[in-house]
Amino acid sequence: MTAPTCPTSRNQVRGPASELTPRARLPAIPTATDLPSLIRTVNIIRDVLRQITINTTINNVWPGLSPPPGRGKSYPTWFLTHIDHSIGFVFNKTRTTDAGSGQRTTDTDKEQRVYIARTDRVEFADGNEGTSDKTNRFIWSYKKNLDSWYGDPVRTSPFQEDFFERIVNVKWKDYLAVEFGDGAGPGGGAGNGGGPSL
Amino acid sequence: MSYLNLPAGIPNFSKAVISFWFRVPQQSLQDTWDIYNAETSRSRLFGIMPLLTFGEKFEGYKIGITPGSESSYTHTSWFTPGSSWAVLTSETITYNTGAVQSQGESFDCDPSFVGIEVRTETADDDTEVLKGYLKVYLQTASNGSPSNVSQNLRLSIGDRNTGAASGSALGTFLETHWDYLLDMCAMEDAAPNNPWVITRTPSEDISDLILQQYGPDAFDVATNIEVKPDVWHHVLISFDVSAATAVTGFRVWDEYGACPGRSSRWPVRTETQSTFENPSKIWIAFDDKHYEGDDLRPPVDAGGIRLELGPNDILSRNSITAAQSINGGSHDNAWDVTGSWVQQTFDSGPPATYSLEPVKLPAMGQPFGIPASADLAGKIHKVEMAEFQMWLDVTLDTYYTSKRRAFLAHPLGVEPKDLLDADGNPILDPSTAEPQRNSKGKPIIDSDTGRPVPDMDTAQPKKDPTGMAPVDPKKAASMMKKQPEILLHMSKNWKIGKNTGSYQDGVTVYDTDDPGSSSTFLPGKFEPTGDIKTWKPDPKVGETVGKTVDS
Repeated sequence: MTAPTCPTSRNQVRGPASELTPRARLPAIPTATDLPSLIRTVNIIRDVLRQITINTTINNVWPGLSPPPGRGKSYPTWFLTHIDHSIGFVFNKTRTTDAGSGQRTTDTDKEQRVYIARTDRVEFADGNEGTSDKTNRFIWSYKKNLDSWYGDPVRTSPFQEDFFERIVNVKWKDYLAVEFGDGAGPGGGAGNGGGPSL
Repeated sequence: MSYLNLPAGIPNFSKAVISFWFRVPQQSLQDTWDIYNAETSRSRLFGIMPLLTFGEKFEGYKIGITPGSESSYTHTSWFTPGSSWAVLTSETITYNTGAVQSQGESFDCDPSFVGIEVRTETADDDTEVLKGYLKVYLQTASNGSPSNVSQNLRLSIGDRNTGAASGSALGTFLETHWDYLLDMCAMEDAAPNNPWVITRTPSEDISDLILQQYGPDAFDVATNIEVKPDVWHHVLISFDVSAATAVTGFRVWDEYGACPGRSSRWPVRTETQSTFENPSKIWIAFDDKHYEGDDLRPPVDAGGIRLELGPNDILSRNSITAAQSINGGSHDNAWDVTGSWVQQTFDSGPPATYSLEPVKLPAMGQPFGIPASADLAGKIHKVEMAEFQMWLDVTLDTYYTSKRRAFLAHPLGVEPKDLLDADGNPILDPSTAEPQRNSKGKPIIDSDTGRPVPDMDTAQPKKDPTGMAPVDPKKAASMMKKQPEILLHMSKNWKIGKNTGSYQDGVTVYDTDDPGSSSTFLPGKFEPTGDIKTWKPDPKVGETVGKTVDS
């Protein structure tokens, strides 16, 4: 269980909006008690039977996706099938060249970093061909390593001896800590904010 | 109970750095949990064990729901006794146009606090285990500027006409429509006076009503940082809520369309994803570990897509609500097998928007309490604390080890990295290992040292021999380049409420930048209440033993 404190609210619309739309269903077939209701019942039965049994109908005017005559394969219908992200950091780097040897070195300063969220690769597949290794694919990719990926466990910087002396043999003149009580003693019981000042 | 109180509080602020040490007995977590379960209605600090409270206290309210007004439509059933339609039956159908949300019973909301949220979790053996997690709650006085976050929606249903042609009328009244059951366009006889028009659209923007139910906007940073009981911890918190944040919500629109032009039962979906700009920030290091991302605050999913918050970004409660708001709906034009065709339009409006101007936490004139202010003393439980430091109007990124070292360090200079090998695995301590044994079970002796050869498979990780301890507050003041406004250093000062920070003699806050404007004086000395006892030994991260030494 979670002990809440003024929890975050949600608005009243939940889930995909398409779930909000009721769908047509087969009608209930009413009982006939007289001639008009019998006619109505027969008509509904007729409709239900037609809905269930007929799998073609007139005027199905949707042309569908098809290539011009003689063009062979259908046009591709691209579906996004995969995205790779990189989330992490790049550190500040300084390049120096040794005046004598001409050797170049790169120093990385992990104290200076930039947060990066980047899309590395997107992949689309042709929905007309299903998904298989031979599916026609459309791919864009960009790969460049970050210095540190988000979630790397070790990201500490070196201990800076020059700034913070070690605190060996620190002797305080008094203790550092105190205890706040919760009921017993002169402060009073639970729910009571009273009690004498020290 | 006992506590320290600054009755008039501190100046309003938007940035701060807070550092202190604390140790929470297991019994205090249990007491917090017991009170939480015993309370029959929401109270302030509900299920929270406070360590610090400050700022203005507001009221919220529950959302009341009442039925909306009723309306009606006529359902006419037709038949074809000959070659034309005739009315078979006609009836009036009454329906409710939708619930109306309004302000209901009020309740108390939390002030700003740093505390421990107490929860139970199910352990591997299915037992319930009580745990505490660090929580930071920053209550603003601003309601922000929302729109379309929530609406009262109204349902409208037009007259319905149904019926099936028969006999000589069959095929005379053809209309082309999408048929869901056959998943295709169909041409059927449609009863007169179609379509049947159904709409549900906003009648009133109730964004303010919904968002203000928990009081003005707030930053609710429920961390995933577990606070283990009975051991000392150090927490270093910094935040900046001065950002002008803007958020838009999610919108989805499903266009089912009509014949011709439709290929399947699935709609053409248009989505507008949630966005946010310029979030506020918080940095927390706990026991010298810097926390980011999901460990720092829960992820925010909006429309099934995670918002790419930066490692230290936080959004206010209202911003999250707006970002998660899903508006939109669908338009449909479909065959109803009873002889009518239906045009349905459900639309809850354009995407939600919300903006929060730069805010200052309303702390002036409100009690500032450690572990809680006087009016919340009933929620105080036994806790040990030490070395409280607070800077206003500055921030500190706790990622940097060098900055954390201004608050806690290893007395012998041993760093956590010194306990790990090059691969990041714990270095094993040979002195904790069992000796290797020969076939007769006797320890194998190293001929060079004369000591048993350790079986490193049984060795324990090398332990930090010291634990991290508080650093002289002068170090932090030097690094921050100014004295903390509030400093409680040494138990003798805690016990008398002596603030040795820059506000020790109080602070005068002017109403405007004009020095001649009216002003308010805020005393800087804490008022101690109850029995505040000295505790020894001094805190170290992970230290478990200790006791009070006086009263």
